[in-house]
Amino acid sequence: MKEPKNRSHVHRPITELVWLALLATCTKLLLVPAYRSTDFEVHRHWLALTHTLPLAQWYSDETSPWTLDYPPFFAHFEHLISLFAHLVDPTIAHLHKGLDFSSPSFILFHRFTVIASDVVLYYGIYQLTRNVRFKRRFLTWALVVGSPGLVIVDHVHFQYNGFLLGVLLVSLAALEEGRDLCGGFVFAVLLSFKHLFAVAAPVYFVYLFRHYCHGGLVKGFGRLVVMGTLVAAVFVAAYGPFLYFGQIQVVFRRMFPFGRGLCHAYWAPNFWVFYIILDKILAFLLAKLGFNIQAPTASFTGGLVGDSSPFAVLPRVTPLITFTMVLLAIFPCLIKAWKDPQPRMITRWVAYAYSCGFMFGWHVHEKASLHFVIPLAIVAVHSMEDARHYFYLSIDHPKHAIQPRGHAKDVPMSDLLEVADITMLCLFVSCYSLFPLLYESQEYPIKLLLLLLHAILMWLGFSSRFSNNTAAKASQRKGDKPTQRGSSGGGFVIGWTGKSYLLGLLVVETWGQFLHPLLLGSRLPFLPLMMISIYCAIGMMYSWVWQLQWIIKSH
Amino acid sequence: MRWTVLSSDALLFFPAVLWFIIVYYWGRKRWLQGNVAWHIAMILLNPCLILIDHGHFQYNCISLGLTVGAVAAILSDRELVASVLFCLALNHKQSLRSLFSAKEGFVVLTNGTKLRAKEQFGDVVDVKFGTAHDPGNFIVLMIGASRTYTPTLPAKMVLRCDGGLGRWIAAEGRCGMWCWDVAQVVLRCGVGAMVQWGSRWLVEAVASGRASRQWVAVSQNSLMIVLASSRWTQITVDCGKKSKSGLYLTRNCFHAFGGSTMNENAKFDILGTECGKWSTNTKLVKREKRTETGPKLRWGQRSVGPELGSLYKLIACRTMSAYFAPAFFSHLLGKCLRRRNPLLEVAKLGLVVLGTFAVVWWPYIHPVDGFLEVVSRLAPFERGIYEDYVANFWCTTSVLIKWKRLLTMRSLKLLSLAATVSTCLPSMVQQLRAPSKQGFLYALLNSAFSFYLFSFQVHEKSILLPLLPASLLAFEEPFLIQWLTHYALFSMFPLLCRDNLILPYIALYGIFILLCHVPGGRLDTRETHSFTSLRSFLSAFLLLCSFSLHIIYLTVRPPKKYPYLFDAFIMLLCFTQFVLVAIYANRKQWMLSMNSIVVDKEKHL
Repeated sequence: MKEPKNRSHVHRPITELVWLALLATCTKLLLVPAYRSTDFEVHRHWLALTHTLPLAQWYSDETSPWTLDYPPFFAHFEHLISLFAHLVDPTIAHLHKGLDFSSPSFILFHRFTVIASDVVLYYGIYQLTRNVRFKRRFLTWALVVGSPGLVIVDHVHFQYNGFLLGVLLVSLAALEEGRDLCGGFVFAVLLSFKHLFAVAAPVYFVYLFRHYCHGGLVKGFGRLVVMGTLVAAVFVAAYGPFLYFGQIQVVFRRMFPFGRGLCHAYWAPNFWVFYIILDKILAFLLAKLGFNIQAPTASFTGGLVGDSSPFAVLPRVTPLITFTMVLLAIFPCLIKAWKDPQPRMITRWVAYAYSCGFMFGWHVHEKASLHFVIPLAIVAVHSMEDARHYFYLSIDHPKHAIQPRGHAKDVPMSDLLEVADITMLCLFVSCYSLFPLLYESQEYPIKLLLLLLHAILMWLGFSSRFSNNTAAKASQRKGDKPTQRGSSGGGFVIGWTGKSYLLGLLVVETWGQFLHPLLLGSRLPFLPLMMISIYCAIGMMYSWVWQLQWIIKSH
Repeated sequence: MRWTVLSSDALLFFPAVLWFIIVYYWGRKRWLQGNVAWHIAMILLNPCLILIDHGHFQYNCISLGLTVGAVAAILSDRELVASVLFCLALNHKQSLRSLFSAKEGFVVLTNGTKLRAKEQFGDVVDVKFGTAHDPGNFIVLMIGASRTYTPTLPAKMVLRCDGGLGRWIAAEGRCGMWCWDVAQVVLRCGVGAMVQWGSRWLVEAVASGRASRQWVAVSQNSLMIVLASSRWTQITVDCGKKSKSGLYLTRNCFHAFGGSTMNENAKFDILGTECGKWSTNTKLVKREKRTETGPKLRWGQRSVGPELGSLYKLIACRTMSAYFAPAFFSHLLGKCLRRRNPLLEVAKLGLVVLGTFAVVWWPYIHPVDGFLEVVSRLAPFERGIYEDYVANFWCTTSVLIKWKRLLTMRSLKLLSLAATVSTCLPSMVQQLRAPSKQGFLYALLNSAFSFYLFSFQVHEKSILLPLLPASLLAFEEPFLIQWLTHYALFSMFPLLCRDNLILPYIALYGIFILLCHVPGGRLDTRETHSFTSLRSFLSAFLLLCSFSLHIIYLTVRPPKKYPYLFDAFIMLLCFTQFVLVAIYANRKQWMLSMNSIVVDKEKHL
């Protein structure tokens, strides 16, 4: 993707977005022959399920091990797709004949559905950024649309995250513009598409309660009732039919499979990785010291609740504990939202809430990092705007430099620089942690190239924003190259921590890809994955702590 | 093998393009430099080159990269470097071969001589066969078997080996991605046939009681055929009884039941349906017998004995970069003539050229017969003036005039030579009279076009050569490059269709067109839409024609009487467009010379 030149005034945002979307679509088309994951079969089965069976049996069917575990709206969405799938090839939508069915036409069709459903993502991002300046808008778009994580998960591995994130963005855009009712409604719809998004529900609740339901007791209560009715209506539309058929318990059992272990097969880089490692080390040390340590019988990934603990030394983690921890982690942000519900901050809060969910949640999949990475990218560009404003004022009117817009007034400059720093790091790490998802060697160049291109784009984008700030006058001139770096103190540089961290990442990757097979051969096959997981977890933890700090400090 | 293309791309083509861009934009006005990224994208992301090199699998990027380097050298006034680079570009395929066949004692066997009736095997197939010391053993190295659509293809790789052991090393093919695995076969006094373009092999063998993986033993007088395989091929062997002559496909054969992805012609489809089983089905064998034996026998007659141990044979390859030779020649000559000491300059250049050629050709000059062989391969006149449906003059007019019947080969050669020279003469004359850098780029375009349109034995992919200077000129001629890319791609559409590259075709073309119209992209608006309504109507009509032809080609079956009807239509349409573009480029070049002084001055600003 090439950096655009700044002739913003000529083009309308919608044409630009269409251009970018088409470019992204073409790139995605090139990824169609990529490897075929099991998720194809999962979604195909859901499609066949919803096509063949009546509504009442959707959640009780057990023809395939891939049972339907998304909320009802997603099932309806699959049903909609199945109507077209039936036209393409009736076998696809056949419950029994279609099992493990694969044909080029089916794969093409399935890939197309993802590409087409990305329209929602484009719409969401358009809603979110239609009123901002060209460069920031384009940077946001490039960051989100070209996000390697999203491309890897959706268009190589196959899922519908782009579509769901699009819905989230629409909701956030509505909130930022003050259309609270609409925002709440869309969020309720999103929850009925994928319940994993519910982590941000407390934030939404507190924010809407304080921001929407104000203005006296009567008016506030009236608004609360309106909002409550709207959200309840959405949930009734989603779950009502199942309640009617007496299936609601089955539905919830499917949607919340706490029977699965604390971690996914490949450990998502979150807090629990440290916990597990600590347990291993402690067990090892204590065993050395002569204590009698029983080796755990259950595994982390598949252990059933109530059976033996997978931990040797440390106390067992239950879903309730993780739930409490997530809530505790979100708490500071809830307080902020309660005290001062500003529309500007909502995206940041939501991003933070999702990262809490990712860090402390139960059975988190590494793909869940997309939930907070995408909003975080948007937040980063937002804050860049604030930073720019700050710069602009401080350069042109040195005496009034203390009066910038928004929250930036008390935040030191270094923090705003750090936003970009941390976001880049976070995007990088989260994308890198998705690498093991594509394990075949033929996809290796693709994912590497995607990541590097994206990193370069981010780098250019963010650094150009700063160069514009520092050399505000120069940037007014037409044809100034966007990649030009400013020379004065505000330049965008990754700090030494970030640099050394990225270097370490390189080491981990080199080890996993080349040195490990070379030196150890097939021994310790889990080691590279574990290293990636731990190393990424450090990065994630760092970015989470920083986000927390940022939330607390912000006004 | 894909990596080799990619790395040669990254090592040669990319730096060459970068160099060209730096030279081209050096000292221009500052606001023009905003177009650098756009221009690079235009050259590097040209869908034709990507599809042919990375989809169809060829090494064009090397010769094109060297050519671009030569152009850049000329633009920066380094004539000697330019001539060296261009000579290398002329010879790149030879040097590549020499890398592959450097080991003393190996024979590089051509796929060609007798079986080129329909198609040559592709430029990138090496077959190494037998060593001098151990004549019976042979190693077959197949690299990227392309052009696999001809029905007689499985016969093409039949090898005869008397009383020896054989090893087959099958490198990856065109549908596979990156990996290449090895299948090994032992042959004793057998005839082997092998065609593969899959990347993964699973060879199961049952031969004289032994069963093994990736190791197939075939008993005496046997014949084996490994047919087209896709990525997950199961090859099952049944070597029961001996056959009489070893040249018929009885029971001593392999059947490869390719996955269904790559089955392109009817025969493969028959096999493809029986995926994963192994068969002694007589019906199937019969079918194969009918289709396979003829060509195989022919190959069989071409006995390859031990005496061939020291003979080099090269894969036929045409020096594609020769298309640019007139432009280079005339530009350099014209420039030299303008110097103070023209004779010395010319002599210098001549020496450099001869030296480069000598270095490159040294390995082949060594055995004289090898040298002669190479020379005869370089000018593959015996193949006929045209084949398939290439959008050049001879093919297009052959719809009406059957050149091959009317004239003898010799007169056809003369005719095409005369036509080529006469068409590229104007641009040569212009360059001799007033050599300018801008004019040189146009001259490249023109001479490449005249070769493409009128020379002997042109292949579809040769359109890459006119396309290269056009993309170098993308900044001056944004419309031209789009138009030309569109029709160049279109002219290769049937070829790419057979390679199952339709999806990349669409995607890459989409990316290219989108990049052409970057919002707020090109700062230069000299070439604004000054189209009259007639012109825009015509271009819209032509675009509509080509789009509908795309769809028709994919969906409608041609009538049985004219199976290549749509190919002919595509050819016709593309040919007219190419001619128009060529005329336009010639005119433009001459217009330049009218005010060449002004242009030159502008250059130096």
